[in-house]
Amino acid sequence: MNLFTIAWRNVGRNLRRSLLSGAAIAVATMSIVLLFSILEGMKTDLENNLIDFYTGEVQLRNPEYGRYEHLNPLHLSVSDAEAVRSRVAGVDGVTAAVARLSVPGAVFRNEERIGLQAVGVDFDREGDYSAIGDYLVAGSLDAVTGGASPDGTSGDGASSSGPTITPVLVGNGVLDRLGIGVGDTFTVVVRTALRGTNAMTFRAVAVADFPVPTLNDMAFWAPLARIQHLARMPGQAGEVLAKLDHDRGAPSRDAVMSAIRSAEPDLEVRHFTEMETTYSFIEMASTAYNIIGLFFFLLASTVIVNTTMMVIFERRREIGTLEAMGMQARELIRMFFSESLIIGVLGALAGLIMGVGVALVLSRVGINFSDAMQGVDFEISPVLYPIVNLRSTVVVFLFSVVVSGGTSYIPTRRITRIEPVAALREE
Amino acid sequence: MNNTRTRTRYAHAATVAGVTVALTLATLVPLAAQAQPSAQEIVRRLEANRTYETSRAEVTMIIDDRFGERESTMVSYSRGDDEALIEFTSAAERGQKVLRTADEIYLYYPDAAELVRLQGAALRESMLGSDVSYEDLTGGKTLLDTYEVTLDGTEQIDGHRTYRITMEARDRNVAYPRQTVWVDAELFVARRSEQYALSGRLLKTAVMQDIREIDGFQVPMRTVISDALKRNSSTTIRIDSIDIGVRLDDTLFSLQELSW
Repeated sequence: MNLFTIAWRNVGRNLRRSLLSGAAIAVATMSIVLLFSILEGMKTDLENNLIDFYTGEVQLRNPEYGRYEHLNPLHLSVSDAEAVRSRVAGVDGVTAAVARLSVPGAVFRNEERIGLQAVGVDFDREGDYSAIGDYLVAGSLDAVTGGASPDGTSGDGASSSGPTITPVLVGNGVLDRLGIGVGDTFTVVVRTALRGTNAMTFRAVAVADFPVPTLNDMAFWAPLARIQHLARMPGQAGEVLAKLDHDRGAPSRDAVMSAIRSAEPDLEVRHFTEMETTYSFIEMASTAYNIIGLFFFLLASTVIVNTTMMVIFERRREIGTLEAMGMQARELIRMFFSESLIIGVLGALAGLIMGVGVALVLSRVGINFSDAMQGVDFEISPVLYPIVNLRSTVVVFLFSVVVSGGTSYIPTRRITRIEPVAALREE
Repeated sequence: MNNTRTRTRYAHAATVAGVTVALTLATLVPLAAQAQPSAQEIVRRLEANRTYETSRAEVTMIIDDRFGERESTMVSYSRGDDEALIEFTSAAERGQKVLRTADEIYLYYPDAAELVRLQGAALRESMLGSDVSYEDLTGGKTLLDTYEVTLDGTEQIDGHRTYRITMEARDRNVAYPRQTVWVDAELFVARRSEQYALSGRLLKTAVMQDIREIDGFQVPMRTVISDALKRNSSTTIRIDSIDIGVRLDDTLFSLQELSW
C-alpha cells in the first residue's frame, strides 16, 4: 500500500475533523472566487462604460488639454474633427471612431442653477460605436436627427426668423432634475471656446437610460454641429474616440496605437488603461484584493495547521510504531503532508464549485448597488453582473492548494522530533 | 428678491461695464470742504456723484487670464438707478444682451428661444468669464440703506488724498458683507475698493483709473477688477465713449425689447 493510499484512508479516520479543515479552505476559496468574479464584472462594466461613454478605447485630444482640464479649456480642441476621425477610422485595427464635443452648461430655473453636460455627437456613427439606440426608453433617434438640415440644424420648432430649437436625447434623470417631460424645452447657458458665453434652447424628444447614473442625471446628446455652434467651435471636437479590433489575427494594440500616433502626430493619443480613471483605481484595487486573498487563505490554512498538529500529537504512538517498524521520517512527513494536501485540494475544489455556482447565478440576476452608490461619481453601473474568469479561477484554485499545502508542511516536520521509544511508552 | 436687489451699488461702479458708467458718474463736486465730513456725508456725496438720468456708453471689457487676453465690446444704456441694458457688439457675443430691471436680470441670446432669468445664487455666475458677476450688476437700496459706514481716516492713493470708508452690511444677504472704499477727498469718486466675505476673506479688488470730467461728472474711464478667488486673472473695463443725459427710447429696458 503506498503512502498516498494510507493518507487518503487516514483522512477518513476522523471525517468530522477533516471536513472542518476542508470547509475552512472551501469557504476561503469560494469567497475569493466570488470576490474576483465581482471584481471582473466591475472591471468589464467599467471598461465598457469608459469606452462607450467617456474616454473611448483610444482617445485623441489636444495635447495641452489635460494640463488645463480642470478649467474646461474648450479652445484646446481637435480641429477639423471629421478629417481626424476619418483618418483614425481608416487605421488597420480600428473598428469604429467618433468625434465628440462635451460642453458643460447650466439651466437656470427660479433661483437654482442646474448643471448639465451637452454632448455633441454624430448619431449615425454612434450607432456603431456606443449603440446609443439600445439605451432609449422613450422617443427615437429619428426624432433627434430627423429634419436636420445639411449644417446639422433642425427645423423642429424653428420659425424663419426665430432661433432654432434643437431636438436632443436626454438622460432620464435630466428630465426629473429639470422638472420637464418629453417634448418640453430647456435653455442651456455655456461657456464658449472663445471664453464668452452662449445659450441655446433644446427640446427633449428622446430619453435614454444610460448605465451610469451620472450620465442619466447630467448628459443630453445633441447633433455635433449644433453643439459646435453653441460653443463657437465650427468643425471642432473635444476628442476623437476609437475602438480597436480584438479578434484573433487583428494587429496588436501597440501596433494600432503606433499607427494612430503616426497618423495624428499633433494630437495626444492614449489608451484608456493609460489614463487616470476609475479603471486604474480598480486595477490597483485588484492588486490589493490579491493580497487580501492571500491572507484569506493563510487564515483558513491555520485550521489545517491546527488539525495537522493535533493529528500528529494524537498519533504519536502510531508514529513511534511506524518508525520502529522501519518507516523513515521523510516517509512519515510525506504521509501526513499528503493527508493535509488531500484536505486542501478537496476543500479548494468544493469552494471553487460553490464560488463559481454562486457567481453564475449572480451573473444572471445581478447585484444591485444602487443604494450604496448614491452620490458616488463612478463610471460603474449600479447593477453589477459578476463574471467568472477561467484563468483567475484556476489561479485561485492552485493558489489555495499551494497555500494550504505549504502551511501544513510546517507542522508535519515535527514528526522528525518524535523519538520512537518515547512515543511507544506513552499511554 | 429684495435681498438680491440689496446689492452694493458701490460694487457696480467698480465692476460693471455699462452699469459701471451709470453708477460711477459723479456730479461735479466742489473741492473738499475745509472740515472733514462724516462717513455718511462722504458716502451720500459718492452716491449723488453717480446718480444721473440716462447714459449711453461704448465699453471694452478686457479679460486677462492664464490663456491670454481677450476683448469684448459692448454698448451700455442706463436710466436712473435700476435700469440698464448691455448689448454686446464683439464677434464672439454679438447680439447678446443683459437687461437689468428694477427687480431682475435677464440674459438674451440670439441662439436661444427663451430669455434666461437670473435670480438668487445664479447671479453669482461670472459674466463672460470675467471677474465681474451678474450679482455686481444688481441694483436696489442705497449704500447707506445697505451698510453701516465708518470713516477710518485719510490715505494717499496714487497721489490723491482719499477717505477710507469701511462698510459693514446691515443684512447678511448681500453680495459683499464688508467693503472698504477709498473715496477721493476732492472729487468724491472712488479710487479703490475691496470687497470681503463674511469670514473676512478678500473677494475682489477694484482700482479706478483715468478719472475724467465728462458732462459735469467725474468718470473713471478705466477700472481694473481682480477676483481674489481666481489666480492669474483680472478684468479691465474701459469706457471708450460716453454720453450722459441722452434721450433713450421708453421701451429700451423692457422685456419686449429683448424679443426676437
